[in-house]
Amino acid sequence: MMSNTSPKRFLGTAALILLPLAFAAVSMLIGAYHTAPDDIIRIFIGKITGDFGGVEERTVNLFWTIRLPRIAAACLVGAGLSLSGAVFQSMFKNPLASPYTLGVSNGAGFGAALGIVLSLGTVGIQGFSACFGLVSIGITFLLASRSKSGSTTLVLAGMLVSALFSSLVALLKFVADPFEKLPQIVFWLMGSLSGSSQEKVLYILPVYFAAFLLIWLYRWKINVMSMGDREAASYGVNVKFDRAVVILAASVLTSMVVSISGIISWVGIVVPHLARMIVGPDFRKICPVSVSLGICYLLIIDNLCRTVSSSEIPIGVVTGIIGAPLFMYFILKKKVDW
Amino acid sequence: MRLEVNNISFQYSSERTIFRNLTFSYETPGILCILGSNGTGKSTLLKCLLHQNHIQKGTIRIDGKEVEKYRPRELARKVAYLPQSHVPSFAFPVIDVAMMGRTSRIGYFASPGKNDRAVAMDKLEYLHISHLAEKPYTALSGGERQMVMIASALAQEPELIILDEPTSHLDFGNQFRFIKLVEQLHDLGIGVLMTTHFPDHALYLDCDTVILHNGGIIASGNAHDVITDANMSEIYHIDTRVIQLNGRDICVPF
Repeated sequence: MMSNTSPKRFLGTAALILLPLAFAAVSMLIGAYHTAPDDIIRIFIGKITGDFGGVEERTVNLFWTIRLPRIAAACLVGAGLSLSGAVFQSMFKNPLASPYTLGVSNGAGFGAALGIVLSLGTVGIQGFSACFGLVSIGITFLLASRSKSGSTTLVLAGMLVSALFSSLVALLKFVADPFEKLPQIVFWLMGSLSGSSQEKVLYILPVYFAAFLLIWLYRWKINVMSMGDREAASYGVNVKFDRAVVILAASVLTSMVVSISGIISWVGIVVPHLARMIVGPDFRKICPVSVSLGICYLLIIDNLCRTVSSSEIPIGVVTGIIGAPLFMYFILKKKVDW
Repeated sequence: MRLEVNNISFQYSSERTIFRNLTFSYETPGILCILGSNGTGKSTLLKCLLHQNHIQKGTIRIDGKEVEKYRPRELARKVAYLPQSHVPSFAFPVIDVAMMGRTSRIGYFASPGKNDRAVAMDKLEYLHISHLAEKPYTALSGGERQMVMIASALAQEPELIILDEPTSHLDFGNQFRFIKLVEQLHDLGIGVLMTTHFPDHALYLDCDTVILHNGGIIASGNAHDVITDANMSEIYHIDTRVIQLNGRDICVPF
């Protein structure tokens, strides 16, 4: 596609694919329960051949039911938040736009809190969270569709819906049992991957990948739309429809992610910026780079959360503590150039 | 391509009618200039022609088919449109901006390929700006940026290019060069329909001219017939005379 099909480009592509794989492999070794590298290889071989080569059954089970789902969750969350953040930044032409701009996080948070108050169990909580995430997107689009003026109205509607659900979350916190339910709600809202399971990850996969694919299909039109509504229209883009589809896909992606991880802040802002710094504004490049960096970033941070102290640190807290200064650095160094 | 505008009216709200009962027609590869003072609805009219604004009355037909019946992609293959000065948001390289013109020519979910890049490059070369190809669009001057937008309009391979006050942000030299370019496009067989604030441009191009005033067309025909002392004085509210200089008509305020 580009004229410079150089070794540099080849190396870049290789790094994009190999780096997340390497981080995922290293993450498999990290955790409270020590697992040796050769055991991990035996576990994978054993999955196919049925012969685990003498690795303890306990280790095998632990790996499949806890560690691998958690690594998969970190990859899905990192990739999803980064991609959807990149979409929002391009579509709203705003460096502060994030996957949560349209209030998906508060909608999903309300769903989860409601699930917790109703004692629904993990799958029920996840389902409620995903549903209310989608409901909040629906309300936002419904409010915005009444007006002609496009993305500004959409952001405003998103803020309103976000504020509404945030108040409802506060209400639930207020009525929740302070000893059992309230800490659960608070913990969920801070974001964590500690509860990841095979089911949780598998449930979101179909919708997650559908949204992901749709965004990839629109990679060029996202460029065109980022030139401005009128310009895009004159290039033959059905701006109203295509913009709605893209933003909807990014929001659905976010709500799937939030339903397994809770609200993890800053990833969706910092990573797309980093990607933009490296490859420029072309969404066809931002898309794979954001995904790759997002996976690496979240794997690193989740490994920190799992190992730094004996009890888990909520990942949303760590991403905030690392993300905010990083963003400040981008601004001061004029790397965030809009 | 034939454009027929028949008895159209447009209003933003019931209190504010922009124009009513406009009728004119146009055929490519002709040049048509639309003159009128600030706020007469020239830009609004262009947006109506592209179905970005929806008229309340009358019909606009392109090649016999109502403009609202065209799918956006289909319309973009016939008509390219350059809005008034464009405020860029992202530092795309110039070649990418030029390639955006290919959007209506490639598959719905496709991304432009080698061939589209070659077409875009070709247009940059035609406009003598191929040396800018890898430069960020945001770093260009207003005049260069407009050339890039023209390149991307040409990459659409349209039959007609609609320009909204293309010369209003250009310096004196670039204005004249631009008018020369309009002539060149016409010679290539591409029609140009533009609004302008400069009667001289219409006189130089010796083209069809429509004069909008108070929500209606007060005159239409060849530039030399409709750009008269009386008409210009009426629409601009200043004393204006059309005089001859070395055999050319020019329009001068007094």
